[in-house]
Amino acid sequence: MRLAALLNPALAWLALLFLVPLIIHLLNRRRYKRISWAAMDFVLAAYKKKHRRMRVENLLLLLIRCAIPAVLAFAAARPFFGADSPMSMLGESRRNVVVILDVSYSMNRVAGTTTLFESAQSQIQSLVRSLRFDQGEGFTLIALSREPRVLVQGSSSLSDLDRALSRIPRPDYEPADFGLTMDLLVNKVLPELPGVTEVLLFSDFQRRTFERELQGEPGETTAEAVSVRSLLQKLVDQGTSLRFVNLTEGTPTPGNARVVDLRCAEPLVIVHQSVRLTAHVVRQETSAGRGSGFFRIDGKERSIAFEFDKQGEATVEVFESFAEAGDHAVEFHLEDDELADDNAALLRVVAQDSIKLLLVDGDPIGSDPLSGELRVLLPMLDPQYGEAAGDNVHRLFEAQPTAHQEFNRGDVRLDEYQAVVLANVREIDEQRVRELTDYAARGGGVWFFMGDQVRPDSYNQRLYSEGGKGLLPIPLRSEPAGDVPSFRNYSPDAYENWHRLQIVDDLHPAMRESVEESRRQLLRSAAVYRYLGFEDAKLPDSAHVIARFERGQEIAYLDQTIGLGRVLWFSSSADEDWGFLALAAQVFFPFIYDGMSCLVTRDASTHRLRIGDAIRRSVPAAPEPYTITLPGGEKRLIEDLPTTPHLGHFPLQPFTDTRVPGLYQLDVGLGAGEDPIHELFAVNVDPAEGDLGAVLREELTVLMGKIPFDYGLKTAEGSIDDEPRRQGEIWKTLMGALLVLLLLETLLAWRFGAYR
Amino acid sequence: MKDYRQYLDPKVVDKLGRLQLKARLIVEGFLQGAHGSPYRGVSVEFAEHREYTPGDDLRHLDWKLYGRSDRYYIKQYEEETNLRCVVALDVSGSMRFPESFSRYRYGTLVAAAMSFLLLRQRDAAGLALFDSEVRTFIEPLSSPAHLSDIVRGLEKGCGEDRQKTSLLPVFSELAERVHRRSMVIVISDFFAPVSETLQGLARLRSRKNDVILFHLLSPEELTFEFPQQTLFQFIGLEEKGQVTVDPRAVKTEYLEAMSQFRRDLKRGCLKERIDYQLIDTSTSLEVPLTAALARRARKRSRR
Repeated sequence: MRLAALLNPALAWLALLFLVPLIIHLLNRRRYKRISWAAMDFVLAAYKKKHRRMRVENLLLLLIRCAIPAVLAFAAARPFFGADSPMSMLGESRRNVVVILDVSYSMNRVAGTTTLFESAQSQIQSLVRSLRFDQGEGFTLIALSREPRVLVQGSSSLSDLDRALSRIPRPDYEPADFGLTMDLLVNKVLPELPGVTEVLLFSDFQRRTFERELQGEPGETTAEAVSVRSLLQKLVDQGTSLRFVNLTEGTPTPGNARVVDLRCAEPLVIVHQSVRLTAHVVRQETSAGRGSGFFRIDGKERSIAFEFDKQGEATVEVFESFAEAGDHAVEFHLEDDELADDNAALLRVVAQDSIKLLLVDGDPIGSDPLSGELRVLLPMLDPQYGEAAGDNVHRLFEAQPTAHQEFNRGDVRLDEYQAVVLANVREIDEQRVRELTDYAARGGGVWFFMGDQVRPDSYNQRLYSEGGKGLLPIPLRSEPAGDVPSFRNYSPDAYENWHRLQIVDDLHPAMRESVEESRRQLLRSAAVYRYLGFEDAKLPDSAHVIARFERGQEIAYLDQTIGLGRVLWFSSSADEDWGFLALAAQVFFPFIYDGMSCLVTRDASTHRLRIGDAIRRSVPAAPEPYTITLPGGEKRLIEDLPTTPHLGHFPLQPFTDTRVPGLYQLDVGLGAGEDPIHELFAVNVDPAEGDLGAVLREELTVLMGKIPFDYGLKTAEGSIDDEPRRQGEIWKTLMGALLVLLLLETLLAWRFGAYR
Repeated sequence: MKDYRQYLDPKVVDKLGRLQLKARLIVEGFLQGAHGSPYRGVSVEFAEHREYTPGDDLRHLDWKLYGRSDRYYIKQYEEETNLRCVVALDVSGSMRFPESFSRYRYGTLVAAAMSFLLLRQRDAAGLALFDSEVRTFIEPLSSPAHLSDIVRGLEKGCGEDRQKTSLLPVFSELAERVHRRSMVIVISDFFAPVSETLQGLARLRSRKNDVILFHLLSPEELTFEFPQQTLFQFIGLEEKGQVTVDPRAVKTEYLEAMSQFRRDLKRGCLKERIDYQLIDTSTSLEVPLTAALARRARKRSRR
């Protein structure tokens, strides 16, 4: 027998009142009157004849008297027993159910003529209708979700159910989390709802929902599984039965396909430049086959057919060029299948006019910028430098060289450029340092290359600030390391002593092209023989190491975030003075290109979000009231504006209402003198939720351990109501027993001789 | 005329003066009531006249004869100086019960009144006080002044250290000490083995004595009713142990045992032709006096 619970556990303490009759009995035994008696023989004879029976009678009466308060207290505490307990037959049965409805988007899968979600809603309505509200039965409805929530708590009204279901006409666009939902149920909901008889889970039992509990090696029990089991054990200990209603039971394996990724191959997209747009598609069946879909780019559709490989994967590509600078909406859609929610992916592509760069020559030779420090960098970045712009020539970068003297005089306006490169600049005027810092904070990119002109002491004094607040995150060493070889005396041994680059952060956008093994080897071979390194100091959180030198592990390439912008530090030169890197075009070009892309583009992930992620954006000036347009056209006006800059920019209030996939448009005015911001944010569903592989029953059994549960009930109508599990609340039986005890006590006390 | 019948209430008369006075009042009350009492068959019969001598009770002066003879004559009632009676009173520890008005005090009143009555009738009255043995024995004499001896003996008996009841040796001794063909009135609770009691009484009877048993029991002993509903610790007199029990729990069994005891004693008395009279010590003293006189009358009629 398992005692399910006490509905009023606080009253159970009254059972201690059973001690009162016991104490009275013990006290009474000490209370007597003394009397001298002559006819003692007769009293002794009577006592001898009767005393054994008197003891039994007294004991019986005492037990009954002790039982009375105990039974009364127990009845007041309102115990109830689970449906499996034989004690429940003594009680007044009542059904109190908790229904958990899976609202992850996989439930939007069509099975037959309805979706699984609709089927679940229908069954839940049927179930709730079968409850006897007039007899105190009730229900609670919980959404099984990534952020589980209670939809209806402890209700005895059908209209509550209807209202709750009408608020969720379709599933969320998010996956579900079984462990979190069980935690909500057991630790938050059930303490408020004693007497729950059953918990029914309506779900498609997709593996993803139980991912955290099932991950791990076969036979291994994860910590999450242990946690879920202990939660469910609490349920079972209260006499609550568990029923898992698998809505996919008996349905054929879905042939769902989903778009798992959509991206632009080039980080920097220039107008009129052809870029490759790639969608990656996966389908449930691991087999080859045909597929079809379409790209929609700025509203224009292009149908495309493709082939799945044997693994059921396909890469779908299209090339597109954008005529105008600005944000462009790119979508990829698959043909309709059982689950439509994962058939699309969205992307924001930012097309730019040529990237304007300012290149500062720290060691100019005459007036020819191609003679000085920029002799490799300039033609590499801007091959058309100095030529008249042709009609069909689009320059990726428009480089503007300048001598360091002009730069330090303040003859240039930094805001006209998207990035500034300082190559071997001796020192920077303090005012220029402030301007550069402000420029970076507002989103500009800055790249420092070292060389023989650089004065470390000046840099350390003017550009370094403790805590990562300056352009220079850690101080430079006072002297360069390595030697410039004499090529007349070149020997292979000397080559071995040069400094080779080792990529530390493969995922850094400045190393995007270099992570392939072949490129990595090339980068390694293009060694430097001299560099100006950094002191051994703790890096601030704003700095990030991109590459080190193999020998000695000194920092070779560093990234410092300043406000909205970035500052790159390369410890060798931009030309061949200090190393071979600039001479290895197949390495240096991607190196420069990636660096520039990193400097002039924002982190794409800030504009590529999942359902529920917040739209975050900081702007360079105090914003005016702005709007966010949701997919579907609804405009939200935001008037809660930042007034205080943070590190030179104004962070907008995070926008969290991204429950629907699509492209969200942010339009922010920044006042006179500043260009307004019009940006797209692509919010996509998590494609993993489209993997409709179900958890196997055996896996569920292993997950549940020794916890009993029913599984795979038929989803046919009415089957949920069959043999409803009803608990036994036995307080009325106990009151009846109490009356019997009272009558028995009275009768026996009279029978045994008044109130002994 | 003063109503002496009130003095038949033992509790009333017990409060009055000395035992001798009490005895007289009891007898007066008894005799006064005898005329209207149901015990009519028991009367004191006129036997003859004798000349008045100073000191005689003037109530017995025959005024009719005086009128005829002009001489004073006293009526003499049927009395035989050769009726010898010994009142044997149990003075054992058990006779102290109940404390409020003990059996012993009741017995004392009966004994004193009996003695007064007998001596008044010119019978010889004597006294024996006993517990485990005969403690006091006053030879029966018929002198009116003998009453003082008897009373003195009774009063003395109250203060003595009392022992347990043991009736066989007592009756055996009495059988030896009492004249044959005497009347022996035994006043006791008879809390001793019935067989021994009957054996002792048989010895008395074997010497042709008339024996009357006044079995004194208090109302509590007879009914086993107690006003309080609580446990009682019964402490036995005569060191018979103690037990704590609710009387209501053992009442039935106690009364059964008590009834059995009385039945056995009565049956035994009947067998020996001994008068057995159960006396509730809360009742009137008329009962024992009537019983005694009835027996006296039957004895006289057999002669």
